[in-house]
Amino acid sequence: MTLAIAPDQPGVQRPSSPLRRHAPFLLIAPALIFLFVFLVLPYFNIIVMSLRVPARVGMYAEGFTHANYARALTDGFYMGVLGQTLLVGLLTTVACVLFGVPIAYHLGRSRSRWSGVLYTLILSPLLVGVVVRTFGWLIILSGNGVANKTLREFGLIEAPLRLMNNEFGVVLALTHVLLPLMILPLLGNVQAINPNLERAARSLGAGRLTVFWRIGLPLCMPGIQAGGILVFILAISAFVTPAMLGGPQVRTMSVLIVQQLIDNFQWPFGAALALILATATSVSVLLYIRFTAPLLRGLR
Amino acid sequence: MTVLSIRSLVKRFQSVVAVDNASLQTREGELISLLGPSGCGKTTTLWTVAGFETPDSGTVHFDGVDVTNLLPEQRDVGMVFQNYALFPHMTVYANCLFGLEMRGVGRDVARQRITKVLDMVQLTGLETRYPRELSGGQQQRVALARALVIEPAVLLLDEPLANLDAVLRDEMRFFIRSLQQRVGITTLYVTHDQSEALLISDRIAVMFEGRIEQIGTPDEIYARPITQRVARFVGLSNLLAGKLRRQAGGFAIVESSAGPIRAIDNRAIADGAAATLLVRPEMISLGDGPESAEANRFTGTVEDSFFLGSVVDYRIRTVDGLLLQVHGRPVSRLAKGASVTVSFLASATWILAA
Repeated sequence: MTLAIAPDQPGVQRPSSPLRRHAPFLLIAPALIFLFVFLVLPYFNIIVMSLRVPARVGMYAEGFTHANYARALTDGFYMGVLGQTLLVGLLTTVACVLFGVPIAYHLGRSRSRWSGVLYTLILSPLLVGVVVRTFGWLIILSGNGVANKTLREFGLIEAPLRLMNNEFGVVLALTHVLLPLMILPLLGNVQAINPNLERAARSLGAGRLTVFWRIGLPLCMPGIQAGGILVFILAISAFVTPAMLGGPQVRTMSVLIVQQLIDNFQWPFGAALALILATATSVSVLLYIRFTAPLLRGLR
Repeated sequence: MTVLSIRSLVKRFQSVVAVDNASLQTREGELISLLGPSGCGKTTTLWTVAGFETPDSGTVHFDGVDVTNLLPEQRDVGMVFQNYALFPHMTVYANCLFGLEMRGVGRDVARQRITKVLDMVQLTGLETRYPRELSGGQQQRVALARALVIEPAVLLLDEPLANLDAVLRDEMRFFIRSLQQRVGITTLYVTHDQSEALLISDRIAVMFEGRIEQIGTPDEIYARPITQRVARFVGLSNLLAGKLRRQAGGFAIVESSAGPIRAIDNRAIADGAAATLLVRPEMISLGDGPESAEANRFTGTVEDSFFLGSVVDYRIRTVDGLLLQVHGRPVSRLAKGASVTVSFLASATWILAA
């Protein structure tokens, strides 16, 4: 068969203009420039700042030092705060997985006309600004707040429970707002699971619960992994929620960093703390990906 | 071996009747195909046997035991799905092991049975592969192995070859048929492909609009369909309208617009009733044919012809105005417009209800 060769057929050599040759790069250039100006440059700035010599007057003194890092890494207080931050992130992630998986599984399989309503309800925490939402939690969780009053009126408790100014309050409020970020990636995941897999498992003799544990849950791992990373990072870097609900008991790195920068005007030390947090987060995420990889075999 | 019987099955989805009073009973080790166009209720029937659908009325029995109200996991069926439904996060071995684990089969016995079944489907050596690392044909055979390894009472296959390319599909038909006969398992096979059903089945149940229209051996379905749509759905057909005139001597006559045509007598049709003649294109020969009392003969011209490889598909217009589809051998092909005599025997001509 002979055909007139169309100019756009692959493999056909034709002179390419410089514009055409660089087209892929030109397409991603705006994003690259944006990231460079607003991410790479500021990070570079923070790195430089973290190596500056602290000063009593002004932002920093002459010269460079690694003393900021030495102070943060050797002082048990700061490492304790880092540990507590990672713990809050971990607990929030676990809570989001525990609540998110059943909801996503149900919603992904539901053909009810109410599923649209449930979907909106899941997104609702994101519709309220962080400060308003956190004030809401204050009203509910405080010593004579809604939760304690209700429990006392029903005679379930005598003295008010401590529901805030501790890890419980912070993890609760973070789980509330971050749950949608767990559910959304999972939902796409659940909907992509062929329902015949569950039927096949049942015809092979597995009951509903076994099907969930052996088939449904393992197939949700990509969504759990992706959602877990999102939730963990956002929980660790949250500021308003731990600042307002954590009280003096729960200090997270973000709260501490803002304190150093705004209250104490310790920019070099604050910058060092910020970089330590960023490093700890990256390492945690890398370890997480590493250790969840075996659960994704055959799925990607 | 198990006798599967389906009795007066009815299944509605809202106002649509998916299965309308379907009944059939297999013999031990028999393979019955449910054949029909999409939406005819064949898959719903299969799923009711598997337990994925609950019928509105009617029952399913395995060896006389009513299983209609049992959950899928309580029935003893092996199921193969159109898209195979292999567990993507498990290796070939783990896929096969799953059903055995659910039945509490010990590790050692399980290993022996999996080794045996993988050998049967010619997948030895691929135990540690994940489904996505296999070709379509291999995945198909893993699905068969997974269903067979539990040694179920009944094997259910839901369009198992529909996702394979044509060459592989042809191979797998023979493979599934010989495997089923070696294992000797009672099998229900859903397909919309009539040539697949003809090749693979002991008997075929042809379904239209939720009803089983005819059930019989492939020979019966092909040569003696009971309705026009069965005739049209299975194989190619020339259908001619007329009126039946019974006569002594075995054959009946159908008075058609092209004159009397001799055919096998169908006792189900009353003398003098309107009837339809069926003659398959390959049963008509070009030329005068043998001199015989049972020969029907027409003259006409070649109106069109199509080369199909193994045969040439002619459209021949008789002098009486009938258009006949005739399959001739591809040697010495007739030109368009050529005059030709065609003939077919009464014993190759069947009479249907009008």
